[in-house]
Amino acid sequence: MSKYFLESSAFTKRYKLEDGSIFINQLFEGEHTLFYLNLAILEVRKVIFRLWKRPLKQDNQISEREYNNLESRFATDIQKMIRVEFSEEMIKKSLEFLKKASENNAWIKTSFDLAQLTAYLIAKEENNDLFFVCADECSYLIKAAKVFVNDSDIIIPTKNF
Amino acid sequence: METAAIQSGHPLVEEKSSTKDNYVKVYNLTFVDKWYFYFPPNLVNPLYQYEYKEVVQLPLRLTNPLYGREELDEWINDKAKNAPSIEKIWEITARLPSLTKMLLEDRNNE
Repeated sequence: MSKYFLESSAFTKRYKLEDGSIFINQLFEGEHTLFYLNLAILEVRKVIFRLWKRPLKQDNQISEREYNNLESRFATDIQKMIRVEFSEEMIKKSLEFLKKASENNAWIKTSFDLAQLTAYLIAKEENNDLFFVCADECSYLIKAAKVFVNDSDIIIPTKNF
Repeated sequence: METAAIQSGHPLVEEKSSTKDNYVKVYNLTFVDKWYFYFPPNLVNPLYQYEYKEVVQLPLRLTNPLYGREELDEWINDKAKNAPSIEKIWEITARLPSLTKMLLEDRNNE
């Protein structure tokens, strides 16, 4: 039984079949321990809400019923996961991580990236076999994560999975 | 009450807090420009004179990061009832753009 920390971009792979979705789905279907940051609730719910109320194109809008179905599925998934609370320690340490990443030519671009990485790194201090799952192949986040952990601790669900 | 360590020599602002009911009282520990006389006559150095002045009362709602956790868990448990299968979700999202791409675009446009 392995432990995985799902960053928000890994979560969204679960809800639409695309490259990497099968791997993410297997994490949920298997006997693994899945962690997530409480702030991911905010990010994922916002995406789902946007599909309902602020779609990119009119023909891609979802109905209220479909919106509720997506929310319901998401709630079921996080019910079975371990929620990591973004703590004051993480607020303090996030700047240390930002600094170290920057010194190693890895800029953590967004605040949510920083929050997710910080939460993972601190969770990993408590669970040293914890993998980081992030779907953003080209991201600054992955590059920054590699400053702190081995490449083998980072999983990018793509078509290779 | 918990008292923060007082740094001597400089009139720094320190805080201490106490809890009563559902509030946290926040105090500023400020330098007071007073001279005190005691018997035997002894002029007390004002640099070490501080007093606590109540600044604001904050509800735990604003200070406890876990405030509302029960309500959030209740929402999750409620929403999770009668959840559709993941296959049903994939049917819904089949016609939609990549959710991951949307999330990352939103995030990168912070």
